Amino acid sequence: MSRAKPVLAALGDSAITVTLAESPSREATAYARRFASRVRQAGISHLEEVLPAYTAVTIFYDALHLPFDDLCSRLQTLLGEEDSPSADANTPCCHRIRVVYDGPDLADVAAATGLTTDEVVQLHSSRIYDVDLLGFVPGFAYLSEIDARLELPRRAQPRQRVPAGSVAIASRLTGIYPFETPGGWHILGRTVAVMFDPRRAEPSLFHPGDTVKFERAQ
Amino acid sequence: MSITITRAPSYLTIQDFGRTQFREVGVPRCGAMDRAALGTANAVLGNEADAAGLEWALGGGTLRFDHPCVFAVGGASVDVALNSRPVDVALKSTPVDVALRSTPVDVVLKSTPVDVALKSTPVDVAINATPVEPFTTMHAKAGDVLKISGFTSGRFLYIAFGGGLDTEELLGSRSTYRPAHFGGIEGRMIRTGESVRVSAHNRGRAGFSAPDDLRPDYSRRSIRVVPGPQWSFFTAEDRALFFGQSYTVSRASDRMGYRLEGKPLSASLGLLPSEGVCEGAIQVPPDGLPIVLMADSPTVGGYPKIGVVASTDLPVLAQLSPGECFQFEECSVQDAQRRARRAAGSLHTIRSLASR
Repeated sequence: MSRAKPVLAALGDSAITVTLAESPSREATAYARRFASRVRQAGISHLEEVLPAYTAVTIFYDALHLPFDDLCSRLQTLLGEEDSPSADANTPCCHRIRVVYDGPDLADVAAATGLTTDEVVQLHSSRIYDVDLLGFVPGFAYLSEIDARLELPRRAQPRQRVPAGSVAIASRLTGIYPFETPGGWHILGRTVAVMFDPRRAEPSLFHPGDTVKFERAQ
Repeated sequence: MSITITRAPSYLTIQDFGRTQFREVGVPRCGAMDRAALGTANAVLGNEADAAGLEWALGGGTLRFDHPCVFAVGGASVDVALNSRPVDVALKSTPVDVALRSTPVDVVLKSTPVDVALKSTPVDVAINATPVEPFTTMHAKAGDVLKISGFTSGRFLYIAFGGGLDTEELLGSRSTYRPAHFGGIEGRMIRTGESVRVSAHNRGRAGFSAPDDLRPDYSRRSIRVVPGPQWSFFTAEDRALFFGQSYTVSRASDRMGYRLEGKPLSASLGLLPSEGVCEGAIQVPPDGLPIVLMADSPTVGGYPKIGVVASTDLPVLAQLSPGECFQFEECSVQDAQRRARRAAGSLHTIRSLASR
């Protein structure tokens, strides 16, 4: 990973973006996650949330009590300290998700990729995916990285309604729609797993750093 | 304690100051589009600024107080009236009957608009309606009807209640979040006929008004922006154009984001690796027309962010209707934070005056 000099930049008056790498890589994502853990553990008061992504970490804070300049100098100190490989405090989970592969786009994906539907299912369900980050809607995890043979751009015409539990692919990513929302990914199948429930102790099934394996339900 | 929506507008939800701990699993801040208005309406009631209230937009309507209640409104400029005698009650009451029979009609017509009420029976037509002033506490009796009509400027009106609304709290907030169908009432808009619980701690005095100099100022048409993380990636021409031109709020503007119309920036940056975004962030997609992210925007995004609207100015932008024009003005992060502290101080002052 090209670990360029980290850049701190204000994201408005209540957040800071710390850019740690110039281009995304598994290593960069892991480093961002470790740095996020170190920020959380540093005992800085008035932090709201620390959000790691591919190449950057965004830190939300209460600017009424913690001025930008003070937070910057705390972060600079942390950046100067040695990175500890064990800093990621979250224990990652390995999820097994049963999927009924009967999605409305399965045949089209097979046709577009020159594979049979069985081969599409086989390729999609044989890999172990990383939860890179969540977004779009609560509980929607961007999972990487699908087999290059399945790589397709998003659908030209996004659907107005994608049912909750739809398992879909786009570019080199796969994901599960937690709610009925609009969506432009190719739907391969469905799962009954509840991806997000705001009343559950752990609302989101997936967290950054987890791994996911899809299994074909018979 | 409750209120009942007797005629819902096209948009009505429950909002507070939102969720701030679950961005990592994709939950946006949510919350009031204009936190200054909700916060001030709460402060005059002596509530915490972030108590839950109603966010009302897209048309008029009515609500009924099922119990005696202290409340305050504020935000968009709207005609709000509280009647102490709804029309259907007035029609049944004997004094009006007697007056109609025993006195010449023209005298009655001059003294009360009874003829209008008789012809147009809808329940929300009020006699003896009291205008409801913004950011001023008022007392409603059980059965009173609050009528909202005629938005003259602004998009969102807030109705706050002493003690706040007492609906289910999810992920640290009562805010309605429609894209994921949770918060408020089943994560959706409130419909005609539905009741909303008000805190049992609804108390407070009527007639307290926020001092003028401490209220939100919606007259600004210059919105302060702190340059964003990708500011330096934009060309000098783009940066000059961004602050030099007048932007118009597009019709494509909602709780997720406000699209802006104007001369497009060259914006040749394309898509960057997704990273955390926030409310007020100004993304520039490849078409060069900025999108200001609002309360319900997704938590991560890959478009370059030229800047972020200062938190004190976001409510002013949120209240601009499609077609309204404004300019962006550069502001340092330190200056934006000073202003945010001053605004918080104003709310604190209003609340202490109200609680005296």
